[in-house]
Amino acid sequence: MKRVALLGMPNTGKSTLFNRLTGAHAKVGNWPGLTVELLNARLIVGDQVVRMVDLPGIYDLNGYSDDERVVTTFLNTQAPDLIVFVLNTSQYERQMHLLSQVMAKGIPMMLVLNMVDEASAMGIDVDVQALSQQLKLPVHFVSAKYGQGIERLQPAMREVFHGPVACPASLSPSEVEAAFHAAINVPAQASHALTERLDQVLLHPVFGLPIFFGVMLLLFQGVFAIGKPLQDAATWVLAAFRTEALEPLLAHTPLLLQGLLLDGVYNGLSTVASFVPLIVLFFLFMGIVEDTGYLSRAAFLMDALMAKFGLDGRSFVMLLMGFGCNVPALMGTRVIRSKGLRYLTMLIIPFSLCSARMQVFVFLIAALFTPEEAPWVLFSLYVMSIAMSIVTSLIFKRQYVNQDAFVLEMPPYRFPTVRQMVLTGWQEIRHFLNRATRFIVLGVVAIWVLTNLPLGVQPGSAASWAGHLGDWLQPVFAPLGINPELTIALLFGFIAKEIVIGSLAVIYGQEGAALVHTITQHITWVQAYSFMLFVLIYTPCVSTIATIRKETKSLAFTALSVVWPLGVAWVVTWVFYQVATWAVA
Amino acid sequence: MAIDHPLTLEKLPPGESASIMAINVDSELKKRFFALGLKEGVHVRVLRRGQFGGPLHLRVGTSELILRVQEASCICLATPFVATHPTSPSL
Repeated sequence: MKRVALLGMPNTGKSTLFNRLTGAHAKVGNWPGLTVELLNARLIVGDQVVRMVDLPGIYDLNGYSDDERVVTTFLNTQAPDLIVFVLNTSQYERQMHLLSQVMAKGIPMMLVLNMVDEASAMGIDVDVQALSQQLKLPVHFVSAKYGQGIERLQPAMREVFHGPVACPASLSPSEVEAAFHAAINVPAQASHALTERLDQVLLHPVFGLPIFFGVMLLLFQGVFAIGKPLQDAATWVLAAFRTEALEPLLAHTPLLLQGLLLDGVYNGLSTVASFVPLIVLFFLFMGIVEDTGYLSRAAFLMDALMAKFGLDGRSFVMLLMGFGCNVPALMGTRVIRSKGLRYLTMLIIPFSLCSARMQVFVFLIAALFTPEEAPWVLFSLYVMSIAMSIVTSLIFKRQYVNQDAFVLEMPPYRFPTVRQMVLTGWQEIRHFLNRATRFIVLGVVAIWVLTNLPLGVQPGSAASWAGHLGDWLQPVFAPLGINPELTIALLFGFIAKEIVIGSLAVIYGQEGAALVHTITQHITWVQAYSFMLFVLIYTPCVSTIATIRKETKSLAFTALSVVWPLGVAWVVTWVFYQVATWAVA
Repeated sequence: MAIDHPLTLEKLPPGESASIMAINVDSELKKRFFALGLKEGVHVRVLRRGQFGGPLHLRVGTSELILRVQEASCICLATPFVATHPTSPSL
């Protein structure tokens, strides 16, 4: 099968083009260096199927950063049959040197001038024919975002495959430069007028930071204002499905199987599933912020403060991304070239209150606090999340010293299309289904087994296996106010945080409103907050650990990233529980 | 003196622009700068500076970027407006 690779600088729209051409769902955003893995998908070109690879954006073919090494290794070991070089038209001046480096590789090439929409808005004029003749390359002018000119690419690739194998002419960098200068006309004052006006407000010396925090607060408010009713509706539908469809269907199966399927798998899974609308909405809003290019502004605004903690603006953006999911945030640290800064950032990302932990908190807070208290309790956990990151970086900044220069692209503001938003939402649903089938079902089944065996015990009682395990661990968890049932939930939450609420449903053998009621009977708000603190701080999930191991290839660092949060979680929770019980008494 | 202390980028006030004369950083960082448009001979404009010693927000050609003060101090600028005439009273 022939292979086509997309290559270009960061944030030139390679992933958007990849998604356009292949119908795949690569994650896109207005932030340099978002693609960290080699994504590939099949694409039909004329009469054959080719494999298209989306390479991470690079600045230089001879660079030494991790993403640059990924690309050079790829080109050297599995040379593609065609390179589609993607260039942001309005930034050709600084991107053409990479083009001449890649041309020298002697692999058939095609040049795609992307973001024609932005270029024409800036009054940039391109003579595609002249450029194509000068460079001796097929050149196409497209807007991957709006789909303009995309239809010409597949036929053009077909021509390349059917014609004689033509390696690019070896042009010197100055010849490439001359070709561009002759074919492209940039007005003297080309700039993004809207971006300039927005930046005057959003990067305002006094109001910039308050506006940023206001936007984030609004984002969270919006997620809950719209998401909570949707979640309640989902809970109702899922409970109705059980009583109306599943229970009659399974009425004649053996009791034990019925218990496993209904109280184990279904209760566990449906409790987690009821959060999907909230999570999708959360990622949708985060995705909009990411697409607009506001994250680079956040990096600018926060850099001076982050420098005090041995971090930089990029670390801050990765922490923000970690609020969605820690795994992509950890991989995103590849743009940081200093090992010290990268490790320090990777050490603090797991403290970011990710969406999976958010589900646990929303669930418990709704059960144990009044609607007036709820937002403040959740807010306090976000504050704790950031505080843990700061404390950790202050302690470790001398071990992991930042030696990296801080230089970052500031992309113009861009507005996401409905298509991109739908894609983001769909990605999250797929992501959930993926985790649900891999971890959550396994986790809840294991918990059901532990809480219901040996045969004949009262489910979840002290006589069950789970009860024994929980009791055995009580010396460690009792000082934190975490009872044997919650201990079991914590143990399995180590695999994935979604399992925590799923497991509570299984342990107490209930779902929906009944589960909430039971929980309020069993634990106090102090215990619940203790439990939430521990869930917030201790190791987020096995995927995170695996990612840290994969990215650092260091067992010692991976061990540190597990042991340190565990220790901090125990100490912080112990202090809270002891002080709170003393104060309440 | 003017010759011992050449104008470096971090001293350029917001709204001003100047052309880059020399970039004194290691070759790896120089490559990164080059890829972002920062190279000898180009015009760079300071759009704004971050609060509390924060980074500079620059425009080079049609691209914008942010750069910490420390790195900006390695970029020397041509100084068309500074008096370097031998009879200047400052010398």
